[in-house]
Amino acid sequence: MSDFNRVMEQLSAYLDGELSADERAHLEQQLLTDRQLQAELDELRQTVALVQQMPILKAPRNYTLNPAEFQKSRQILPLRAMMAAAAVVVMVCGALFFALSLQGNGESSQEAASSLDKSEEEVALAPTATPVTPVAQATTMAFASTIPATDELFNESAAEGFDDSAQRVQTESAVGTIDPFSAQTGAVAQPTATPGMTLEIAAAASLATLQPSGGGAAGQTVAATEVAMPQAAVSEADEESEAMGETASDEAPGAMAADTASNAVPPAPESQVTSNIFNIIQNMLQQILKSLLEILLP
Amino acid sequence: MVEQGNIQRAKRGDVQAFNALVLAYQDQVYSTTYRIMGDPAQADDMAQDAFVAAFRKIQQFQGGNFKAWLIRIAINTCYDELRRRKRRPTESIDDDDYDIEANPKLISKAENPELHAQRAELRSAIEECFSHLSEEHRVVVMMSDMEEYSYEEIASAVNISLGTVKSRISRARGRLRDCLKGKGELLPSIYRQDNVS
Repeated sequence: MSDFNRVMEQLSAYLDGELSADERAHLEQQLLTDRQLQAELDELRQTVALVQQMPILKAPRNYTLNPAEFQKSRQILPLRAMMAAAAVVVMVCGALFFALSLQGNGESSQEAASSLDKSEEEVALAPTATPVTPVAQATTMAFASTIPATDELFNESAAEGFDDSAQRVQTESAVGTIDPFSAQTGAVAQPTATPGMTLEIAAAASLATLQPSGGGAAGQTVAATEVAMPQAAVSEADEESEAMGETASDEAPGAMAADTASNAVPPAPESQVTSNIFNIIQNMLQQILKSLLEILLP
Repeated sequence: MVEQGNIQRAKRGDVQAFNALVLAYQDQVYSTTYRIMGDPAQADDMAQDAFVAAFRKIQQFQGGNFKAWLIRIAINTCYDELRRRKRRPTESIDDDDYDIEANPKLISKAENPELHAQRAELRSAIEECFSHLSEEHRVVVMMSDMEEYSYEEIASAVNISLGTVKSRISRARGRLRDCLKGKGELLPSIYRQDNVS
């Protein structure tokens, strides 16, 4: 680089305030004694001023966007977001289902039963929680049979919801019917539900799972059976792949209940772990669903 | 403020609100694209592309000077196009096509008719000299002198070193100065201080 070009660079950067303090001081010292340098600086300064005076040109036309075209393209985004959200929900539910499957396979029927309290109503529910009664009808009957035993915990409307869910657990849970109780099983059973299930259904079912809307005693009951119910749902889900009479004929629900009652032991540590897992998963689901709802319903 | 309201509505996907912003700033954006591209038709395309890009990126606007944000997008749109052309040189700007006198759009709406008449030759000379700069020089001069980017900002936007920014701006200004000096007969008072201040 020639000295002239270097000097011009210095002058240009000086105009823009891009010289270091030392460089600026040195250049200013030179400008005091070098008239030619001062003239070059003046010309540069005036050139920059002329460039800055270049007028604003009038646009040859309007550049407004076509609302029909761009509004439509914007509408695609929520659709994509909904699809993504649905995928996330399905994945989470799948993970939940998988975790429950592992839990169900890892525990013996006694362990499963021992995770419940000794109270009468929970012992009555125990047969539905055991993986040895996976037949849906048997499960449904077992649910129904528990109602009289748990009458004290249910008010009438809650009991109706419970009974209703017991009857429809195989069918309507797959299409997103939200009952105080069926919501629990519906959400867990989603991985086996209709593939075309909408986000709203999945989200509503999951929300219902997280926040039982049955209220009062019904809600407490759902909470009390949070271990048992998913296993019942898993049993239902497994029914398609397992032979109908393979396990169902092993033991009758009544016998199982008696067996469970007689072998009831204090809650195993696994039940606490399971509870923690459920809490974590529930929290995750809550956060995800809140985020999704914020996105989809700004 | 009306502009802020339009920005917020545009962020929610309101195209009409965004179009109000377009109408407010389309002249500035077109001026920028014209000076970088050096061709009315290409400047027109770049201005439209810049507004489309702005609408798609408007969620990223975090406040501040919306016009400066738009101009930055316009400059980036032009620079991307110039880089794309360098990778695929299918056509080049023909200097013969660039005729300021033949461009009816080169009219400042900011100037009154008297000033326009008095400075028509000067403006024409500046525009012509500017158009004779290389694309690289036009970009850095636009960013530095018109939009007042720092050297660091230019280096980052154009992806060149600070030293290259420094030398490009210096050379571009030197060429502009020489070009304007060459028009001395047409513009005898061009370098009089009172004419530019």
